[in-house]
Amino acid sequence: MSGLRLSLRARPPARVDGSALLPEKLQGQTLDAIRRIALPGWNEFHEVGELFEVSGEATDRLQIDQLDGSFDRLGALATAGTLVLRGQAGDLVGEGLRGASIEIEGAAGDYLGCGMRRGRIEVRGNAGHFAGSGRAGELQGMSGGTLLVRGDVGDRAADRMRRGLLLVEGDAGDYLASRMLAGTVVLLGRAAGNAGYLMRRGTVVLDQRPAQMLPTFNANGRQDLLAIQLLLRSLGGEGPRFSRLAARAGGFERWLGDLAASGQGELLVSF
Amino acid sequence: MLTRIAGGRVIDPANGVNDVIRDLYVRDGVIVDAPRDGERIDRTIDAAGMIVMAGAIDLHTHIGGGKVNIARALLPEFDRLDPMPAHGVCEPCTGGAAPSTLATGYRYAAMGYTACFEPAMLPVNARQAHMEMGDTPIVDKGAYALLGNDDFFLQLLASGAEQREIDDYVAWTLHATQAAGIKVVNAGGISAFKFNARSLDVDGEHPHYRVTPRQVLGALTRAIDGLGVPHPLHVHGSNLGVPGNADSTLATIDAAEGRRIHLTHLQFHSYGTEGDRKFSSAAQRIAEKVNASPNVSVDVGQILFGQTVTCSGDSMMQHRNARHARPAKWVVMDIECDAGCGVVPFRYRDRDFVNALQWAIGLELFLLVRDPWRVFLTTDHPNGGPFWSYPHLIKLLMDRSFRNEVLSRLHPEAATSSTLASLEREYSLYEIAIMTRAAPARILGLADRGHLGPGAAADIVVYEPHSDPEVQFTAPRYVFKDGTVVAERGEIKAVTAGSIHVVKPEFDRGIERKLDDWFRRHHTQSLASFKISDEEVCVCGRAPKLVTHACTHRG
Amino acid sequence: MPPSFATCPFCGLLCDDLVVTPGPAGLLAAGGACERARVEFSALGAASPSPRVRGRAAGLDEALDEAARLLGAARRPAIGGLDVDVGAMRAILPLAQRLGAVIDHSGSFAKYRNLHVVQESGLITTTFAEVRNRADVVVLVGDGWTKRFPRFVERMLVPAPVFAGDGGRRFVLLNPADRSALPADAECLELAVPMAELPVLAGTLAALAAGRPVSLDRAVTALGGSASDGLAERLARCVDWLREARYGVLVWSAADLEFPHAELAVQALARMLRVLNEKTRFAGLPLAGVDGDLTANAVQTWRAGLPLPASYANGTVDFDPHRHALPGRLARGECDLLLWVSNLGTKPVPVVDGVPTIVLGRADRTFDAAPDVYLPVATPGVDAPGHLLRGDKVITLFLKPVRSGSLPTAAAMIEALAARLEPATC
Repeated sequence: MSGLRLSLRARPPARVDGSALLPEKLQGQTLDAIRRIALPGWNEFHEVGELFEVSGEATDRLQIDQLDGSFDRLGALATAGTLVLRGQAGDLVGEGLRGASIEIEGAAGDYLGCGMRRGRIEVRGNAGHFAGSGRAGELQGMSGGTLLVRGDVGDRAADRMRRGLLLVEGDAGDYLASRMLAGTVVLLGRAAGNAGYLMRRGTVVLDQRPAQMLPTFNANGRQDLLAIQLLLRSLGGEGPRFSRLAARAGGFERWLGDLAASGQGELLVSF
Repeated sequence: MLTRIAGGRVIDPANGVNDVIRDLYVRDGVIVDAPRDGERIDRTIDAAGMIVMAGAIDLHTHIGGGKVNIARALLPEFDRLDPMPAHGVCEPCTGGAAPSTLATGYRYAAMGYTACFEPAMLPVNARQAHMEMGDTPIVDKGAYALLGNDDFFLQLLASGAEQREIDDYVAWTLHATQAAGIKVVNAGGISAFKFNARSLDVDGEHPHYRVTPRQVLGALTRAIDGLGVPHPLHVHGSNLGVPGNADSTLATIDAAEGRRIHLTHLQFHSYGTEGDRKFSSAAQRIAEKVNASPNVSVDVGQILFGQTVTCSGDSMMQHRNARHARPAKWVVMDIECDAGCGVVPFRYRDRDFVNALQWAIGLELFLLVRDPWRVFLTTDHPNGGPFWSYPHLIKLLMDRSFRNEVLSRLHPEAATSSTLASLEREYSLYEIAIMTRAAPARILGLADRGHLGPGAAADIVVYEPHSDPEVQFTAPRYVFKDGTVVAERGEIKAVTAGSIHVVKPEFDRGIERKLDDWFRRHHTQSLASFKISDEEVCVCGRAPKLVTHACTHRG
Repeated sequence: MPPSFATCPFCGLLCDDLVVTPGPAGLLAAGGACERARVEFSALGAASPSPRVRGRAAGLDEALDEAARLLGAARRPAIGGLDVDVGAMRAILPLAQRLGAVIDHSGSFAKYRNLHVVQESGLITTTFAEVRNRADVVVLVGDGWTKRFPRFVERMLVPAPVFAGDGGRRFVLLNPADRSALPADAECLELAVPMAELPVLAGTLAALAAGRPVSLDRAVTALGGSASDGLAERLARCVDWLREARYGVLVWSAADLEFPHAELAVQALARMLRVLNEKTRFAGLPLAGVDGDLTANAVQTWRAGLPLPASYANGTVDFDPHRHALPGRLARGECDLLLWVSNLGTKPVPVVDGVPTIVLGRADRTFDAAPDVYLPVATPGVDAPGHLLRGDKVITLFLKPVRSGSLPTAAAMIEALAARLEPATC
């Protein structure tokens, strides 16, 4: 396998900010230089060489193995290259992402892809709460790129989302697309309670009807919605389950809301 | 300990000194006469070739009080972009759109400012304001208490109370809140907003009390003169930000009937309605009136391009302007039958016609008001821009070609809709020293600040001259606060505590009987709880001393 | 001589009409004192503690030395509790930055519900005297307005609103609450929707207030009601009242909103206030100030520019309610010391295996598990002067001590600890 490989061998005593571990920053550096990079913990800095086995060659591809959730902000602000994370990837993976590709062969913590602008994140397992949202205290969530979760997402996925695409193969927790501003969410599993709460604009495609629909969403009838059909067809490359939805969806039951906000969002339930 | 600051080019307009090479002597935090022969000089600071001025004084900067703290909490995204890690003697903190108190003190001091006046202290929020100012290190502080929208005052006025009684209430407020002056914000309008009025012109009637802003301004300017409070009534006019508000501003000046009045952030009140966009500069008209009215002083409230947050007591106008909030989040409060506040983040953009013209109007006012003793350098921090942009603003005033070069990059109609491009005036260093030191000290009645004569506090700034005034004013070589070197070349060297400046005019304490009754019937604290003692304000304000400035009755 | 009134520090109302005198079994609170005030003053009056080291009585110097030793050895200290006055917070923050601590208030989870809304949408609010004198329609969420703030009704809602015209004051109870706590003759509309349904109720009201077409039948079903219980009519009437108000006030206590993501419901209510203010005046009153939550947060915010919870690790200050919240930090085993400072209340101190704990606490507090060091400190407004922010956020009151005693202040103890630490190295 080409590229640089870091394999975690020592658990740090407190969470570590891993945002320095970007392929674009490490590319071309010697392994010794990489081992000496200091990552900020809590009142101490940890050299990469103390925490990880370092091997391979620093190209535009970086793989980090044996992750145990103790690193935050891996891949934050990355603009280029490929970052492969194996294990439990921690919180804030791909925060503010600007163009790189992040593949998580495992699970992600909370705030996955929060505030991402471009690029792509794919998670083989589950993601925590607030996937594709924004940092606490700020107005906007994810504003571009593609975030694909093969497993489930927790609560508040796509909260404040402004642009881009969130694709979820599994189930979503409560308040999917809360306060969503714009952009597109496709959920193949089931959404738990209060989907679309305070949603202003944007589109959420649901393969299954939620157990309950907020009374501040009104039914807008059954529609063909060619643009959505085309979107779903374009997702064929994301895996067979998306292809099957595209093939099966004859049309959509359309719900408009949230009338508690400006009410121009849509929840589309396929049939 | 005697310190000599040797050989500097001294600019001290209060004492008529313009660029004269001389030594300054400092003992126990105070500027003293040259020692007699043979007296020991403990320390000499070589200032040869450097420019020496008194510490600068900002007479209008929102540095403390509830609305500023709301602004801080509201906007973590900008704090995250402006971290200030622990460094030397400085604790970690953040700057951002509404800087922390620590950042405020550090940055003011590093820039050669040694005194700051919070212009909008709500009487009911005075303790918190003093506490925030107390946690603003190094600089001296003072505050203007807000009156003119409080129900007690409005009912006094509406009931035809004698001026004497209003004077007593104003004086009582100065004592009870430990203030250095009185400010009125949108006279009567903040209260009218609580009765659901959305605007109030200078001669409009308050929906409940049936009094007009003109009457409010009349009563308060009379009180300030009658009590001999050194700082004129500090007035945030009616119709802030509304195109055409120049008429309100002229009416406000007339309402003072020749009594002293200070119009604050005048830029936001100098708008006409000419042109296709119904928004134009009325700076010329306003400046002419100011030039012709020796009772009027002004500060500009210059806007500078970039992100900021507007913090104002003017809940009525802030609610109206909230639709322009950027980012789109804002807070408006009605406060305790006393006043209100509105916190609205704002981003001034140079390619936006309105913002570009606001920028030009501010500079027009600076350049068209002739007397530098009556126009003050402010951005209404943080409302028009952060105080740390003052060096840039000074450069705009001192360098016409730079000014016009910036103008040429803005929305093109800013140049065609204003006279700015044709204004040739360039401020001299002497005039800058007047407007940032001598004049604010004089208009605040600070006898021992803003000058370098014997007896003055040793608040002294030593600048390395530079062809670019922005560079010169950003990081002075030395800043002395009460004789201690607190900053060198922009780096904080010592963290000291500043004093609190107040005025305490004489008054008839009989007013407390009426107030006590009012508090019982309408307030949610007792009169005794409301008042802040001298001892208490020094604890709140962490002040080594309370400096009381004289009031001289001006009948 | 007129009586000297005391100000009560035990809830956000800061009632300043108490008369507190020494009695046989402790301090006797009279005057305006509510039942809670009587209990708290009396409890404080009876205690006469000494410092303790691992449960054993110790001299002050010994306790301070041991606490300083623990602090000095800690790499990742957390500072919690923070139900304290301004003076204590002012002492705590420089220590936090010196230690690189993570710092959080014990009631932060409730506080975030409002803070999130301020930071992510904004808010229109008001204060006690405006409520007292102006409010003609008062909408009450939950029951904290009577349970957590015992004299709120008596002091703010019973006096006639002098600026409200002749109509008097009407009440809406959104959730189940004790109607009898309100003036008996006042008009009152009881929606009685369970608290857990507040998100749907808040969204429905916001939409209806904005004139949006919401099916009342569907709303009633979603709220767990039925066609026959009259909820649809009451919802419609509530919206009429909201729109008719000259000066309406919506009162909630964030601590009542004990369900996940409650800040979203608050944001829906904030949205409703915005809509109502396009035509009339309607303001929110987020009742707080219990256990010094507003005070701790305000001091942190003005000094650092960022609210709680905060991290002072690595010589910087950072705000992140997700990463720095103390319960999470403790649960993940990241902290190696807990300094708990609490001179107002007696909330339990979290016990974490293997994490040494220092408590600067009220004189009468007890422990299930003795902390490594306990330093009893003065309670502001009882044994020492102090300042607290009132529950409407704008007023700060001075707390005058009601007795003179020998208990040191929390600020003095923090400073004594700081003086015992090695000089800062950064």
